[in-house]
Amino acid sequence: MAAVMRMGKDEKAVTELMSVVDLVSGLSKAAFGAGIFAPEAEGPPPGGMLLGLVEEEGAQGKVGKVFEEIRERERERLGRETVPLFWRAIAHRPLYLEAAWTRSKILLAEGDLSLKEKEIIGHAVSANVGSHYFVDEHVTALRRMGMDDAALVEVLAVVDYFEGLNKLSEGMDIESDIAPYREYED
Amino acid sequence: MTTIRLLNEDEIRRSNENTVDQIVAAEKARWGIPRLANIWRCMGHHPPYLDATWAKAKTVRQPGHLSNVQREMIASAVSAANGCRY
Repeated sequence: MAAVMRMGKDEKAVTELMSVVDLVSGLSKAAFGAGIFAPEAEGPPPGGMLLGLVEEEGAQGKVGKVFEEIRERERERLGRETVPLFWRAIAHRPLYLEAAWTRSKILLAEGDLSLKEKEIIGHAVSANVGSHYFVDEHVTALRRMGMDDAALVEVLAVVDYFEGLNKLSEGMDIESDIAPYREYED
Repeated sequence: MTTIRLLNEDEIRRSNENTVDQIVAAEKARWGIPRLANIWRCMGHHPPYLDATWAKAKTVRQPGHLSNVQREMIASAVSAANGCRY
């Protein structure tokens, strides 16, 4: 974090970065809890799914409206015409669907961070929390933005490297000597 | 507070002089701190581990598709997801 700020990102940008971490780790846990372990493929839902899927056809009210917005975003972002199964699984609770989708819409929109940077963060966090489903989603979006295999491995190398250092510093309880906590006045 | 004593720079230089020089130069550029950060002072207890990790760090930091700030953003994201304050 200290390095990100030294490189010119301010509190606003860093908070935006963390909002993507929050979004992706939350959604990944929900997908795991729904039994969505595998990436989405053509055909029947992947094995292990614990929830039924709300049909797109005939979806009314809140659910119909949210599905329409999801189709619009994912047509551009993922190159697909249908609602991804994660959203269809959580649509059993329309209010939750609406709130989760609104968050996703806001947090993945371009801001101080570009769309591509947000997908990269999404990929890194999904890989970190072990969500096959969302790894697949972010990689699909990144490939459509022109990232090739070498670029994806570059992201994963950074994840690997810091994952390891995190474990070491936690295991040894090493105190941070880089960014001492500062007191801010109101 | 750490679970072990952190070696000082001179102690680590005895086994890994070249690596220590490189780390100090790189970390000065990265953090503006002209000394060895605690994580390296811990690794110094196992000299081959320190060398191998620094070699990996250099590979990860090579210019490529990502900018330096993008790399640091991924690092921040992973560390936050792991709940790691360091």
